[in-house]
Amino acid sequence: MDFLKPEIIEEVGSLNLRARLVVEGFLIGLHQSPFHGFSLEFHEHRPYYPGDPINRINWKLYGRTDRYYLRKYQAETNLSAYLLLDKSKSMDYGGKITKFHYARTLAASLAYLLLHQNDSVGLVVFDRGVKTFLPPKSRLTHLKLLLKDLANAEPSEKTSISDVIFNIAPMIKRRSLIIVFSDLLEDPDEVIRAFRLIRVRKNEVIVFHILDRDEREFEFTEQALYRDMEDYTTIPVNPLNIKELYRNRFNEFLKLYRSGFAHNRIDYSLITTDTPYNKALRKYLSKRKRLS
Amino acid sequence: MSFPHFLLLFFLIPIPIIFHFISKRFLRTKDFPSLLFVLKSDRKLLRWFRLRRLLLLLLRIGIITSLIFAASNLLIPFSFPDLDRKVILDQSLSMRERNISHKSCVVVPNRGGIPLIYKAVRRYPTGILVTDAQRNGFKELFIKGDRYPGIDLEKIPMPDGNIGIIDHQIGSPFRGDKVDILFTILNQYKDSRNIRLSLYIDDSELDKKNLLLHTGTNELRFSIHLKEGSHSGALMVDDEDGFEFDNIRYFTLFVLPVTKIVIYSTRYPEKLLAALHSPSFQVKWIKEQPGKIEGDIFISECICLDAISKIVKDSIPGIICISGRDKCPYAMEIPDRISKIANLSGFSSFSELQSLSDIPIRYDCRPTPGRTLLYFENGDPFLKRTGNVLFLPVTMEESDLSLHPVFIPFLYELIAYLLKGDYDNDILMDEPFVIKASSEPVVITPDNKRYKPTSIGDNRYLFTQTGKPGIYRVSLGTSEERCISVNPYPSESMLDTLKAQESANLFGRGNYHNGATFFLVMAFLLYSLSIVLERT
Repeated sequence: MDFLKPEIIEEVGSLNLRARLVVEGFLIGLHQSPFHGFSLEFHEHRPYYPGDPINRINWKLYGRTDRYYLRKYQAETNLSAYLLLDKSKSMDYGGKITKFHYARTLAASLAYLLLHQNDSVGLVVFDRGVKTFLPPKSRLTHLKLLLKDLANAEPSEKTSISDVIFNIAPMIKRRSLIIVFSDLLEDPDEVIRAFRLIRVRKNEVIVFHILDRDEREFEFTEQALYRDMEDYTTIPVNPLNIKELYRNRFNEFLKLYRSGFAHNRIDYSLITTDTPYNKALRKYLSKRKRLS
Repeated sequence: MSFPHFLLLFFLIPIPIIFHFISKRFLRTKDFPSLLFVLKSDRKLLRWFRLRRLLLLLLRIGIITSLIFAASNLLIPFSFPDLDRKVILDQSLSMRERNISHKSCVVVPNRGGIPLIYKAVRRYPTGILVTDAQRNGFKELFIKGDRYPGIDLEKIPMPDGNIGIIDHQIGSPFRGDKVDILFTILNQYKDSRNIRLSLYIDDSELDKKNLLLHTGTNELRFSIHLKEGSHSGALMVDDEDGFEFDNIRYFTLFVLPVTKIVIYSTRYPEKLLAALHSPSFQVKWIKEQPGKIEGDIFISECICLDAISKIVKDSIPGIICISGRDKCPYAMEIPDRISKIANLSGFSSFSELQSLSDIPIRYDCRPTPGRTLLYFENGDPFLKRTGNVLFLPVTMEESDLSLHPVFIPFLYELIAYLLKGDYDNDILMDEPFVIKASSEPVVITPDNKRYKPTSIGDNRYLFTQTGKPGIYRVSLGTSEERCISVNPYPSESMLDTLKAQESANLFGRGNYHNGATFFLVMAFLLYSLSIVLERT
């Protein structure tokens, strides 16, 4: 699966090809078809037959009836998914692969995957406000449009996830899956409060918290003038002096998100830009399975 | 402040300030999204970062300032200085005479040396001490001036050494004898020096000598024939060490006429007669105690002082009373003691009287009756004077004194002392001298000024203005004249150094702190603080 490493995938110029490469490569690795059973809409129960997967047995029903029944979903029922991509300036950080590049490829891959599952996928590209809004559609031709918007997006300006969430929440009419790609460099309380609003409306939320490894480790040694990428304020810092302090504060920051999302049953994945895409996808699929 | 020119380094102070403002330009700018985001949540921390930069700037300025102050040895007063401070002026001879071509610093020279200056500085809170610091023990101060913070030193080139005549002694000048004059010459150079000396008596050059002076004290003896009567003279050294005042030593001497001595003894005084067998003396032996004696010296053996009649006491210049054991509380111990003195004596180039001369006869010859003139080394009296009677508590039979080589010179010294009277003709500067005269005398100083001394009663006059070295002539009205030599203190010639405690006391280290040390410590503390602050 070495070819799914971000630095290799990024060598591929077309976002479409990249998404396809990621998803197909990932599926080859799974050795099973993704095109079944991932719908959110429950249809009916049917009796268990030997050979059926036991993880789909409804144990609660077994408890009541003393018989084995399997959950059956409406295969033709589309899942409505929204991909929320943060294109703020802070996402532009990284070496060869910036956080934004990683998030964009991951979003494209998920769009490819979802559309080939007959799910409808929408796209919201935002910074301090919504910059691009594509409503969810399940046609494969929609993928082209979606990928084009993704490819055209470039990091700029400050971010305000909470405002964006508050803005798009009324636009989401039916129960949907919201997948967020962001570095979440914002007040955690505000962000969690915004996501709670979505959750209240029976939506499912997956948050991919995209970070660079430098942000987690802070392994710098050279004294420099550190400049914030969004508001351009500077501070002269000797990294050796501040390393421990930074790490502690940053871990506290992550802990706030982790606990806040867990408390609101929001699926949260912390991913660094050197993580292979298949791992990120597997994390998504496994959690989706659990959710279903 | 010892090195105020280091204060010019204050122009370095703007360097950290400039660096503070332009340092950001030299630092590489690094875009990083999460650092400030994390830190922004803690405003106190950000405020602390900015404050720390300012503190670092102040600390760096402080370090530079401290180092500059340390280099300039700035004085730190730890107590408020006394406003009423005195200016102490060193009036020592060297201030006047060291460089004649320059304008004199003081008009009236005074005796100097460490004791006087030390005493003055200790007594008054000193603002300014004006001194040439020559041979006053300030050499160390000038070499290591930084040890004495707060003193602005105007350094004067010090000579490598000094040659000076610091003392002289004159033997018993009886008529017909050669007069021995012993001079002590100090060579403070590190090596031996050849010098030329000239001896002047009564304003004419009597002798010349070339002498190799070794480092330290050297002795030079002249033996000369002189006529009876009063003489004055000087020994001059030709050297170019810059110190003129100790290159000449004044002295006076009085060659006694033939002395008439009467010995009263019931037994044959063979030892005394043998000792006094000289053309300088006319000795007469009597067995009966006389009512009146015609002579200069009366030597009485084994009699009580009270037994000597007042007529005798008044009619003769000197009486030597030699007591027996039963008359003197010290007599039982004296034979041993005398031997002890004799053992100490050893060979001396000066009439073999070195040990007895060392015992301070001269300094105790004050016109006070009952004064002890000669001591044992433990302080017991050996020779006492009561009026004009010298009391020698030992007999010739009971002691080994008469057998010892010092006996004859010692006896001559006693006789000479009695004949010279109560007063010393060789004194040091500022010492007063007493003149005994029936009419008011006149004192002529070396610069030919005439003074009338103060009467102190009993036909005695006191003269105190002996501030200049030289020969002082006392005119006693008739043709009679007395000469008194005045010489500087030997301490004037000493290029010694101050002791540490003296330095500390002199320059008030109790009130002041060494600025160099203080500011170096301060700089180190500030530097340490800045390092800690940088790593915080």
